[in-house]
Amino acid sequence: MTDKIFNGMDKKNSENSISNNIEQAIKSGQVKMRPRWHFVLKTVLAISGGLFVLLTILYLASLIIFISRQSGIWFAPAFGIGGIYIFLFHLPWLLVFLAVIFIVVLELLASHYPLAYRQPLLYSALVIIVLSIFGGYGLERTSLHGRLADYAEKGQLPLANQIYRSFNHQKFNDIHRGEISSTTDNGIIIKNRNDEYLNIIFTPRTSFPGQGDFILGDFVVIMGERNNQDIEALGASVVK
Amino acid sequence: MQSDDEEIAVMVQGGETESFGILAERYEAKISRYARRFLFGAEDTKDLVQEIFIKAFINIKSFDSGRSFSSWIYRIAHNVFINAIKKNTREKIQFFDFDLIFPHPIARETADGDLNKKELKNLLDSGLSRLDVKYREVLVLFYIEEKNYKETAEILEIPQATVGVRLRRGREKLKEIMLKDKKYLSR
Repeated sequence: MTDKIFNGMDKKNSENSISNNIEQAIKSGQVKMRPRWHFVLKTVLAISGGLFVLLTILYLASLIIFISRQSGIWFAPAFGIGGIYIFLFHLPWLLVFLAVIFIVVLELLASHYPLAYRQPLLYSALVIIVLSIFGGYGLERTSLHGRLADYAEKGQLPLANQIYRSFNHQKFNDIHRGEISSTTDNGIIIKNRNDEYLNIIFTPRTSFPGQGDFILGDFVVIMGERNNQDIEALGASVVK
Repeated sequence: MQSDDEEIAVMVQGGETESFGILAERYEAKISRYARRFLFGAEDTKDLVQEIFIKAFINIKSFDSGRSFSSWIYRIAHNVFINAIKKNTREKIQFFDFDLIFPHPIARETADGDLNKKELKNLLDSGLSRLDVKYREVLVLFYIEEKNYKETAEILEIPQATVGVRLRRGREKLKEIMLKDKKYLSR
């Protein structure tokens, strides 16, 4: 639009100063001010966009935590280096990658506002990351994902059915979560989410971070390789 | 008594569109100089300066009178010039700058090391065109347009500490260029 205005202006007023050209263009109505509502709408859209991105990040962060809790990997770092390795190996990296993309988008949106650009990028990025982690954790503690997973099991969750079902039925060979159904001489028997009974064998190598008492009905996470229905536990812990 | 820029901008926002001419007159020379120094060698700076004023008028209702009009119009100029560089030249513009990520201590504005402002202005005349865009612009705004750290930071939408870092690096690079040319040594 401005190119057209210049071409016209230059032909007519090539001798004039720039300010004269501008004044004439304004007087003749060639250039018009945008109304205030245009900028209000732009601001509203930017804020709405930012909120949408923030909510998406919170949803993704809470979903990552939910999935990690369901599979048991969330508790794995308590078992030491081996547990940390299992946690990192089984983390839903696709969702983490998506969350990072949305965090970058939010950072880019925020960087146009003085509150963000007056400080080093690191600060606003840290605020967004901390907000995402704590917000995601808070959201995960609600019944949102539990309900959505239930709907997905019944096939009542359009679009997201597959996401919840595939993650909910994930099975790992080195980390297991279930409810104690009985005790044995050298361990416990747990029932997992797929209604399988697993025989957990405790050995002198088994570590017990947190409390070591196992009561029927407790939910536990076990670290150790599965061999058919038997698992020689490298770590065992009660989880809430 | 002369009205300040912000008052005139508010008048234009209120419908006194002809008052925009006063602002255009006040800033024409400054923005033209900024264009000549920043877009070294560009032939069409007049068109770009016109584009800046047209954009400023079209968007005047987005101007917040609680802030500086000067920084606002220089910000528009910065955007227009960066677009022109992207469009018309082979100069590289870094989209990602590590200087923006980490905190830096804010240097005092008077700390120009072994070069004072006058010497630097002379150096800028001969070495500016060979500096990276990000250093060139901050040197032009600080030494030629005589903006302070805060104003330069607002125009470029970067932290004040980053302005200090770029000024220091810009000066160092300028000295390197001068030393390479041996012009600087012969003086």
